[in-house]
This record gives sequence, C-alpha cells and structure tokens, in this order.
Amino acid sequence: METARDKAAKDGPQDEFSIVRHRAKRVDAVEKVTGRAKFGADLYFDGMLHARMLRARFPHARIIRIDASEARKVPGVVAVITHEDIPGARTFGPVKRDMPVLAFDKTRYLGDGVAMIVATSLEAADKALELVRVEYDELPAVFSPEEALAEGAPVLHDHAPGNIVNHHKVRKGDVDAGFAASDVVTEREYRTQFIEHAYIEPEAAVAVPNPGEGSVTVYGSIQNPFTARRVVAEVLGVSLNKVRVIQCAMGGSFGGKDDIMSCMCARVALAALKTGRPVKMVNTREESIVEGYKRHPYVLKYKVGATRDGKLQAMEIRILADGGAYASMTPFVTWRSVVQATGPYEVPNVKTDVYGVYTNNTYAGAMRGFGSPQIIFAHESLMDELAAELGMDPLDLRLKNGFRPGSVTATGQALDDHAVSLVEVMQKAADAIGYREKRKAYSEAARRAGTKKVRGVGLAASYRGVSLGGEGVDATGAIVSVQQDGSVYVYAGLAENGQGLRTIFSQIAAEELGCNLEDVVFMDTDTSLIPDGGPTVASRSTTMGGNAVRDAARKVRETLLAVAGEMLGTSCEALKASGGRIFVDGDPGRSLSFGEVARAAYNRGELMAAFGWYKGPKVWWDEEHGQGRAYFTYVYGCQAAEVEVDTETGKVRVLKVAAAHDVGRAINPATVEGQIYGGVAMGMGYGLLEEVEMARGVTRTRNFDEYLIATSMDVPEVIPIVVENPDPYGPYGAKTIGEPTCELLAPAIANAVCHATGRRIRELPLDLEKVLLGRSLKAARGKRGSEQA
Amino acid sequence: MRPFSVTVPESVDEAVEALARWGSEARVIAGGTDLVVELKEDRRSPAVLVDISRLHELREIRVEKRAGARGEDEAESVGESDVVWVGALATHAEVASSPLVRAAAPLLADACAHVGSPQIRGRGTIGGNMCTASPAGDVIPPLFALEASVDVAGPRGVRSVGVESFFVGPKRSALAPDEIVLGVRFRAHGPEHVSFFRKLGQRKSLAISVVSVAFAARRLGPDTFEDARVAFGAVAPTVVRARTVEKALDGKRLDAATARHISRLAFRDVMPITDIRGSQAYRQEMACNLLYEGLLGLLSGNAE
Ligand SMILES: Cc1cc2nc3c(=O)[nH]c(=O)nc-3n(C[C@H](O)[C@H](O)[C@H](O)COP(=O)(O)OP(=O)(O)OC[C@H]3O[C@@H](n4cnc5c(N)ncnc54)[C@H](O)[C@@H]3O)c2cc1C
Repeated sequence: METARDKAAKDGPQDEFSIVRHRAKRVDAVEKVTGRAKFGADLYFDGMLHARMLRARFPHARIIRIDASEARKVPGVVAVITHEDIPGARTFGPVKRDMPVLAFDKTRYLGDGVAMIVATSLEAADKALELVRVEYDELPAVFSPEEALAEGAPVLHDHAPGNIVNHHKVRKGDVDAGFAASDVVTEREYRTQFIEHAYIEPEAAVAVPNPGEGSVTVYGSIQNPFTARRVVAEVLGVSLNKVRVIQCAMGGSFGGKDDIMSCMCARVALAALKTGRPVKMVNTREESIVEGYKRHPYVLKYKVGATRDGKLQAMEIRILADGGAYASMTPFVTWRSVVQATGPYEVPNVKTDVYGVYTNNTYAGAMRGFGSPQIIFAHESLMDELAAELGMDPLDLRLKNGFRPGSVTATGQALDDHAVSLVEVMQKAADAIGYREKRKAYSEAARRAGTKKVRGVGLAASYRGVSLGGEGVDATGAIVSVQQDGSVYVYAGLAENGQGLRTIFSQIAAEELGCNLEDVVFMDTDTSLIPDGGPTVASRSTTMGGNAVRDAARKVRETLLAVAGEMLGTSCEALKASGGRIFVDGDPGRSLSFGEVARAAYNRGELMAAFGWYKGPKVWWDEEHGQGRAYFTYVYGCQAAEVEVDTETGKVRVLKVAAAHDVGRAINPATVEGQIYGGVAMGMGYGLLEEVEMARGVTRTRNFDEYLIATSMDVPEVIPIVVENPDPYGPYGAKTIGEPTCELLAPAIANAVCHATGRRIRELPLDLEKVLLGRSLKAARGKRGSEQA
Repeated sequence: MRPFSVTVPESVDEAVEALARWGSEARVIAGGTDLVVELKEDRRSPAVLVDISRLHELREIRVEKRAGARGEDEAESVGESDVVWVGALATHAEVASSPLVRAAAPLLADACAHVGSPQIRGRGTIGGNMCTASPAGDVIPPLFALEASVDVAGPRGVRSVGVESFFVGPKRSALAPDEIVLGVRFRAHGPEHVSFFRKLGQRKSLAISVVSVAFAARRLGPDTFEDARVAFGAVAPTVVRARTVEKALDGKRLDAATARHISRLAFRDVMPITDIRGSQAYRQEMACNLLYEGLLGLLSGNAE
C-alpha cells in the first residue's frame, strides 16, 4: 500500500508548484465585486412571464378542490397551473420520491405549492393569488418527532405508517458488557434547532422553451444542475436530452439549493411549456424561509461508560431527527450521523440508532455539515461532561481516547491508509488559544466571587468522512480544452456554489498545463456540455473534481509536450511546462511560449482537448449490521474558543477562535482560510444566535430581523491553522475543508461557557435567556403554541 | 407592495397641506427604514407618500435658546440649560456625531450610535424613530430622560407636546394624520450632569433592543445624585419612566449594594411582555440589571 507520504514525495516537493498552493486571487472576484456577475433573478428574456406560488393554508390537509376560475379572469394572467397540468411525474425526491411538485392529494407543510399563477406582471400574479379558491379538509398534524412516533399519531405518507423516514444503526461489540466494565456511566440528552441556510440570494429560476417539441432550457441559482435536470425531465415526461440546465452565478447555497431548486425548475419548465413563453420565478426572502428545507433538529440521547482512568468502554446512542414533511436527504444526512456519532474516539462497544421522522414542520435536508453539527454538539459536550465526572481535563480525556494511526472506527474501519492527525489538530488549536494556561487561570478567577464578567475556554474535535461515502456512486468528470492561442476552457460536472471552485479548478488546470492562471476560463456548468458528475455536495468537489480536472489537463499536456519536443528537438521527458512557457528542464533558454506550442499543435491537427474522469476509491456499507468502510478517507479538525459571559445579562462574547483543520493539502491557502472564516461565523450562529422557530408548523422567523445570523461585528478574531498531511487520494494530496469548519464551534462555545459559568447548556442556541436563566425563551412563549408557561 | 404616488413638498406648509388633502390615504416618508418594510409587507398601503426629505430646515441640530449671555466665538458651544433643538430629519449618524449633541446630551448621541447598522444610521431619522413609536425605539428612552418636548405642525399651526404624552401606546403616537413632527427640544446638560444609555440585544449590531435604559441625573456628591430620570425601553407598551426608582435614588448615597437594591425596584415600574426577542421574566430581570450596571459605572472608583 502506498502511503500518503510516499505519494506526496512522488508529487514532488511543494515549492515545485507554481500555481497550486499559492494564494491565487479568486478568478471571479472582479465580476462579483463590480456587480456584473449575472444571478438567476438578473435574467430577462423577451416576452418573459412571471410566476408566483400559492402555498398551503394548513400544515396538514386533504385537498378537496382547487378552483382557479376567478383567478384566470384577472387581466394579465396567462395561466394558472395545478397538479392536473403535469404531464409526467407528480412527485420527486432524491431517495424517496415523496414530494409533490404541486400538491395534489394533501398538503403536508405550509411551504407546499398548491397552484402557480403565470402572468405578464408580478402585480397581476399577486392579485390572482388571492382569488384561487382551495377547499381543504384539515387533518390532525404532528410537530415533533416525539409526537410523530406516538401511538395513533396522524400519518403523513401512506408508505410510512409509523412516520419513520429511515432507521440507521451501528453495532459494534457488546454495550452491556462495556457498561459493566465501566466505573463511570453518564447519560445525557441534547437538543438542536432548525437552521436556515441564509444564503444572500433567494431562489430564482427562468425556463425558456426551445423550438424542439417538449424541450426547455432552465437557468437559475442551482446547486446541482444534473439533479435539477433529472427532476425537470421526469416532471415533463421527456428524456434527459430535452432538458438543458445552465447554472447562473450563485449567491450562496450551503447545501440549500438542491431539492427546492429542482422543484422550482420543474415548476417554471412546466409553465414555460404550457404558455410557450419564458417564465421566471423568484422567491421573496419570506417565501424562501418558509419553503426552503432546513438543517434537521435532533434530539440526542447519549450514554457513555468509561473506566476511572478515562478509557472509553461503551457508547449507546439514540437519535431522533425531525425530517419534516418530506424525506429529501434525511436518509443520507442521518447516515453520516450514524457513522460519525461516537466522534473521533476509540470506543470498543457501540450501539447507535438514528431515526429520521416525518412531521408537519418544514422539511429538513442538506445543509453544510450534513448530519455532523448535531452529533458533534452532543458528543463534544458529552466528552466535557464525562471529563468533569472523572475529574480529568477535557483535552486529556480526548487525547487519551482520540483516533491514532491504525485506530478502528465505530463502523469497523481501520484508519490505516491516510495520516490520522487528530492529536496534531487538537494540540495546535489548544496551543493557539492558550488552552492549558487559560483553563487553569479562568477556573481560579471564577472562584473569586463577585466578578460580573467571567471567561472560559473550551474546544471540540471531529473526524469527517470525505465525499459521499456509502451514499452512492462517487465519480465525476471535467473537460480541459486548449485553444489555438494558448487560452484554456475548463468545464466541470461539479459546480461553483460560491465556495471558490472556479478558482481551484482553474489553478489545477494551469498547474498541470504550465500556462498562466489568467489564461484559464472556467465555464458555467451546463448539462448539455459535460457528463453527469454527481452533485456538488459533501465537500467533494476539490477532491473528486480536482482529480478529474488534473486527469484531463495531464492528457492535454502530453500532446503539447510532444509537439514542443519536436519543435525544440528533444524528447518530451526532458521538458517542463510552467509559468506560461515550455522549456528544457535545466536549460530554460531553450523554450517556447505556451501559446506558440498551442498554435503549432493546432496547425498540426492535434486534439487539444481532453476529458478527465475520476472514480472514488471503493467503499462499502452493510446496513444490516451497521458496519463498513464508510468513507475512503477522513479529515480531522479541532476548534477552540475563548468566551466571556456577562453574568448580568447572559450575553456570550466569543473573544477568539482557533481553528485547526487538516486539509491534506491546501490548493489555495487563501480560499481555505476563507472557508475557515465563513465556517466559524456560521458555527457561531449555530451556537449562539440562529434558530428557525416553528409554532405548529408556522415559521415565525421569516426574515433576518428575527432570524439572527452573526454580523461582522460579532465574529471574533479567528486564528486559522491549516494542517497539511497529503492524502493518497486527493489531487496533490488535497482533501476537504468546506463542511468541517462549521461543525465544531457550537460545542466549543458550549464547553467554554460551562467552563466560565459552571452551567452546562444542552440545547442550542445558547441565547441570552438560556445562558442566564438556563431555560429557553421558547418555553416561556409556549413551544407548541398552546402550552403557555 | 401596492402602487402609490409620491409627492415632494418644498415647505412644511406644503407638507401639511398635502396631508390634509389626502387624509388617511397619505403617509409621510423620511428615511423609509421603517415604512418601506411596512409597505413591502402590506401592513400599510398608502396611495400617496409625502416625501419630506427636501425640508432641509428639519435636518438642523442647533442651540435654540441661550440660557445666559455669551460672546460670538462661543456660538458653536453649548452651556447648561441652553435649549437644544434637533430636527426630525436628522439621521442617527448625524445625531451620533454631532459635537453639540455629544456635549449637551451624550445619552442621546449614544443611543443613535447604537441603532441598527451604518446603513440604517445613515438613512433612518430620529423623527421616524419617534413616529414609529415602537416601545423598543432606541431614541425614545433618552428623550424621556431629557424630558424633551416634541414640535408638531398641522393645519392648526405648530404645537409642542411633552414627550411622555406623545407616545400613547405600542406603535401609537399622539400625532394626528395631518400632522408632522418638526423636531425635539430639550435642556442641555452641564458639567454636573451624569447620564447613560444602555441597550441589550442578541448581537452587537443590527439588534433590536430586548431591553434598553436611559438615565440622567445631577451629581450632588461622588456617589449621590438628584433629579434622576430613568426610562426603560421594550418593557411596557410604550417607553416608561421608572418613578419608583427615581424617587429612591434621590439624594441617596449609593454603593454597590444600594445600587443593586434600588435597581431592583424597577420591577415595579415595568410590565414587559413575552415576544420573539425575550420573555417577560427575562426582560424584567434585565431592566434591573442594565440599570444596575449603568449606576455602578457612575460610582466613584468603580468606573468600568
Ligand atoms: C435593519 C434595520 C435595523 C434597525 N435597527 C434599529 C435599532 O437598532 N433601533 C431602533 O430604534 N430602530 C431600528 N430600526 C428602525 C428604524 O430604522 C428607525 O426607527 C428609524 O429611526 C426610522 O426612521 P426613518 O426616517 O427611516 O422613518 P420612516 O420609515 O421614513 O418613517 C417611519 C414612520 O414615521 C413616520 N414619519 C417619519 N418622519 C415623520 C415626521 N417627521 N413626521 C411625521 N411622521 C413621520 C412615517 O410616516 C412612518 O410611519 C431598524 C430598521 C431596520 C430596517
């Protein structure tokens, strides 16, 4: 087996790179900053119509009748579209095809679309919306997993009589024996909240009918163009090649522009084909928050046993995930949870059960972190609680049990083919924040009574499987095409979501070709130009797509070097390409510009484009026994936080965060740091501020006056620590950074707050009232609406 | 949002005329930071917006009446008991950075500095803040503590209303539909005055107050104050004066323990509700704690 270090050695020392590993400027910076980038809502076409949705009136109701006759009479209204107008599939969904494009039998949450008005103006559409008469038969509803699982609870979907979306398990060893062998057994319950992606750009899509029968092009703020294409084609009842999906510049996604955009694309495509005109739909912020799926709230019951010296013996975990009205990604999200639920620790005996549950809340799906932020909040709070019971320092407890090279995970996977750097990231984060000294100093300060402001430090660590893992096929492609003047196009199946993929892919192409970064243009993803390379999710793009770009670029380079070799009268092995020149290694005087070689190759009739493909290494999963090689490689991260708590108000100020992440290798250190800063800000919101409040299915926090995200004033000093242990699989050894950065801060803050105040808070977010009074503001207001405290 | 037309009067008289003509169909717009949100959410659908942004005299911040005779060179300065006038169209940013307000009423400047974000402070006006009449409006508690009066113009001329009578309920003021606010006036603080404004929000910027408090008094000795005026925001249907607290503070020598004790009397003066930003119990507690923190900061040897 080739080790990571062998592979890195083969890739050459780092200073051999001229573009990769450099802090290249984002290639799309200027168009974004100057406002020239075109987003979905910016698109206009001649004769374009506007579409608006009528949404459900009840979170759970049978639809008896939809009468749009009055609405159709409004001047400017061109069509009112309901489920009856759908020629193909009426439902879609990544796993369970349970979500209606337009509600037909029932509504299951308030975001369900019941009718679509298509009009020449938004005003006309709005007027017509008020005139659609829908007759409902309201049904009893359930608003929490506990309610949904109760005996005799109302059922949302006929295919799931117990309201269970899925049940995943992990079984390892014998937990009863493990607890029997333990000196200390601790049981705790933790809770997390609904979280909104809060991308700056709400959903937008435009469909344009093509001259061909049943053919349509859809543009929009689409995270996964291939997924959207499949849904559109199925709903229209046409083959995939009749639907072209083109991604616009994206104003953020964070996992949130998947199902909802597939649905919006299908709706506008339906409207475009029905009216024969381009149709555009743009959600308002309120619509976006009501309709859009969320990060799942979890209820997590953890039981852990350890010997007196702090060695973990057993963990038993039971988790309920509120999946809301539709399955969406719940089966995959909860699968990542079940795999990683015990955290980055060696636990000989494990029994984990995770249930995804249907409720009449807004549905939950993919969001940055994807099932990890919830379990990390739980297991990292738990480690601190256990350390307190054992009288150990929390970091020491982690170091004692943390994964090391060769450790075996809860799912039976030996971590033996990549650098297991958990200890390294923990130590680096702890050192950067001054953990050991402050842990001691602040505890002593707290003992001196009367201080109004108290400080604490805390940390949290995780391991995270890279890419899709056992979720499904993991392969993707890219095209690198050199033009006769030496300029380059890169096309990729994975899409820019605002995370900087254009820059990373352009850097990799330029590095391999030896051209300049400015000569590369990354093309918007267009489903008609490139094969389906799976979704842009799971922090897989740099690892998977980067390998595909590299593969394509290497093929083209071979052609160009062969031509250059002939021109310079040497073998192509003797040549190097770098900085826009191709030259004889060791004799840079004998050189040609990249453009000269490209022109010569063109004139000789050489193929200067190549297709690259990368298929991820094999993984497997045994659902029956809850064991397997879940992911082909893992990343390790640790974030440490220093906080100050105002004991008069409950206000928590995060003073400083140290974030250490092993990224394998940073293709672009600046964008890695960017991911860390953004992830920390998001993690801070998760920990302290953010919560989508739902009262009996009604979203109360519908805009950013009430859904609070951290502002630039709130985000503390962040110390990014980029740890590089090149991975055998990723391009240049690169792994992942997008998601791990946002999954760690909430528990680090909770641990620091507990260190400062002695108060353990087991429910997110740690808002003012919870920190001061130890109870949720929601409890005072009546969590379920009726039961006023 | 429903369609509407906009009229842009050039004088206060024209503005009042327009309002009289259109009656309840019309709505004044200043910075628009409150109104546009309401329009967008169809909470208001006026047919006509009366845009008062050209009434430049309402943007002024000036000393209106001198308490004593002073030389020309002191024209820009402010002395105790001078009457200060702040126009309704002064933005939060202008008030926060005005040397005159910083000297005469630092608590008002502070409150304006803590409104929203730079963008909101650049557009939002103090007149708009008052006319919205939110119990959480940050400008209002300082005006209570300053015992300001409000100049209002209408078809029947200009009248002056005491600030406490101006606010009649949550989001309700004593302003008639055909009236506009011209500005506020109050007596300037002198060297023996102390004051503070404190606000508690969930985050550091763009935070609507969960509770706010404004305090003004005259210092008698190192730890004694008289003439205290304490006003709380977001703990009652309107901003409220805490008279029990004020009485208890009068002439009393304060230390940390008495400050704590007196602050807790605020329980009697406030009657908060539970809403999305805070529960009743928490708000009550916070009213006391914010006041206590502020008082502590005034005590000798206890400056934070
Ligand atoms: C993002 C955001 C953050 C905010 N943060 C805060 C905050 O932290 N603290 C706070 O207190 N407020 C806050 N606000 C509310 C608002 O910005 C302030 O209340 C602001 O002072 C309103 O002033 P304006 O000029 O924009 O008022 P407008 O929106 O123009 O008007 C508000 C109301 O007053 C009426 N009106 C305005 N001027 C006059 C006048 N001269 N005579 C008669 N009627 C008049 C209008 O008809 C309207 O009903 C925030 C608002 C936003 C959007």
